[in-house]
Amino acid sequence: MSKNNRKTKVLLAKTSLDGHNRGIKVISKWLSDAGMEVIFLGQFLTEEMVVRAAVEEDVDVVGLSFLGGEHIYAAQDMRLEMKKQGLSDDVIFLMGGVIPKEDTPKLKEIGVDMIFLPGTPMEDIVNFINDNVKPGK
Amino acid sequence: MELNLKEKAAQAYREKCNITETDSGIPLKNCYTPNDINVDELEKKCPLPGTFPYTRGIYENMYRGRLWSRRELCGYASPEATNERIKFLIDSGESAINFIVDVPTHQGIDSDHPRAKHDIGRQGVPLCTIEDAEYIIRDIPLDKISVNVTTLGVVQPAIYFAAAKRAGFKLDSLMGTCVNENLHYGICGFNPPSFPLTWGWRCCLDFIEFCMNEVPKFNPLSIDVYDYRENGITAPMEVAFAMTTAREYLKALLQRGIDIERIAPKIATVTHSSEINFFEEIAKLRAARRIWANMLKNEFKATSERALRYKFHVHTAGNSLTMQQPLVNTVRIAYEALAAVLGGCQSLHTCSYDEAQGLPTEESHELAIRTQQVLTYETGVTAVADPLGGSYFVEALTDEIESKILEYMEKVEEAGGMRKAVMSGWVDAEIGHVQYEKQKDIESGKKPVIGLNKFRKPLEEERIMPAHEVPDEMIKKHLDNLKKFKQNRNKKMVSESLEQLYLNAKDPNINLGHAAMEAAEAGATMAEMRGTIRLAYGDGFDPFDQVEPEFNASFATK
Repeated sequence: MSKNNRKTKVLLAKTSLDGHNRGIKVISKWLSDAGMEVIFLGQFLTEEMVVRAAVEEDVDVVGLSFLGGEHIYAAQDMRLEMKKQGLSDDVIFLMGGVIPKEDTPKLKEIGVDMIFLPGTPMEDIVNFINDNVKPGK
Repeated sequence: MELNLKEKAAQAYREKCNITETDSGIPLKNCYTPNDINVDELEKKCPLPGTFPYTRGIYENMYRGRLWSRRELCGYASPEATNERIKFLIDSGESAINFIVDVPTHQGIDSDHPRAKHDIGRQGVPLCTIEDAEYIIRDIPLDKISVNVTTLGVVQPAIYFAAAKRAGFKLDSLMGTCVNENLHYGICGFNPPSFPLTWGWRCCLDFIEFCMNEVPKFNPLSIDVYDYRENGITAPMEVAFAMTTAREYLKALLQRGIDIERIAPKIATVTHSSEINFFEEIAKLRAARRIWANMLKNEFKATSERALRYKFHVHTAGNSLTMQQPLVNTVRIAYEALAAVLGGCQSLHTCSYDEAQGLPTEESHELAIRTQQVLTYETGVTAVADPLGGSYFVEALTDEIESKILEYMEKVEEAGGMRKAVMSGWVDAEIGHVQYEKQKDIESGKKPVIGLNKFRKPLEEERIMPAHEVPDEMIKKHLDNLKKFKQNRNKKMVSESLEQLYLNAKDPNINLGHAAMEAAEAGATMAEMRGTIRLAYGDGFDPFDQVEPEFNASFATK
């Protein structure tokens, strides 16, 4: 629970043109079954669209999925857009997908709060969100 | 809680198998006997290999007649880099070529489109112009080796043909395959507006017909049910989607007046998956052959052997690979490849062990080929056709899975057939349900995955593998080439060729293959051609509504 005891609100999306969507669809349903309010915005979106939705929906978490090797550039663009639209720093920025372990320090440096590598148990993702969303801010 | 060594040892020593069903849920007995198969029917259902209904294989002597093609999927960075990798793979012993276009190309946009920037050359090779295709095929004897072009629609393969022609090959000497399948496009992760079932469907059919007349050695459709399977569906669903998709294409092509005996052999080149549930995969492939032969004979009244033989390429399952303990993947890949061969495949792609973190490196790509070479030259499994034929278990499982496939094909037909079922969202919903259940089984440990939910190591103990890189400078060079190409071409010729393509697209009775090849030769880009067809159908030029056409203003308003 966060923000005045409402459900934790999670926005999931795919920017870039990569089509692999199995992971993010499964995670959408998983987080929803874990009691969160999940918006899966869709695929092939621009960073502008995703951040606008995050602002409008006042979400606690934004999660993007990448399986095409484009994650570093996409993370940079996403961070810039978050800044541009003034998305609150309290919003947790997550990434997951086919991402080499060696790229995680770089992604954290760019400002991704957590990177979930292939094979991460769903429970770890649920726990990370529950532990890091600040209640009633 | 961690067990101590003593407890671990005691538990391991007394461990027993608790598997009681296949991955798709078919119950398994402890042992199979003649009572599990109808011996009288076996003669009819499983006669010698090379005999209808081909359960035991499509050729009498199978691999003694011809080995399967060792065909590794490849494509990255730039056309030049991809050409280098293709040559490396041939040098390492692959026996057929399989190149895949990158994601922007799949989406019908050129590399200089603003939305393409992060995706160029990441999951395939950019194919924007005839020059790109010329780089890809440089020094490759296209009339001596089969080339699978993993793309779809009439435009992109026409660019490849145009380049082959320019390199001096006659169209009727080209061998190969093109995926060219429209129904799975939106379902398996591509942007439906980029290639909708309106003009996209026509482009696929036009390409098939074009090849039948102009490029007769080329198989213009390879229904790709691997992509469905990667989304988490079961083995019976995979085959059912293959058959019901084929049925849609066959019906549409028959409506165009093409003879079933001519068309069936051209589209019976399906791309299947091979997952880790060993016997189920073998039974699946055996059952698929039998279903195809019966469907073609009974439903489509085909009689020739070529029409009744179901050929397929197998791609070992990317989704079975783990980032954890990646070398274990080599073992999975080997078993999956063995299942494909025991199932009688004609062509095989073995994955690379590092694919759970990115594209294969040169080293891992080579090991994938070596895996096939060990199968081919060391194991001896190639000597005997359908070595598992007559096994009480395998025959019973083949029967069982066949009835599950037929049952599911009925469900697809009840949903209106594959085309309608895709359009209504039925297929998507079916996949969504199954993939979620499968994930639950992995999370709970019901489906063991070594290194992932069993015998997992802490992340810190996992070694870091070198990841394959797509060098920025190669992408930059490709973009420079594209820019120069666009500047140097004869604009009048491009404009005229696009106008012809536009006019032909307006007339559903004209095949788009010729105009697409001519436009490619004149210097039109892939996105310009796709955009021209879009305009003829009243869609915007650019699937992402961001780019204005350079040429179409003059004629697209007529």
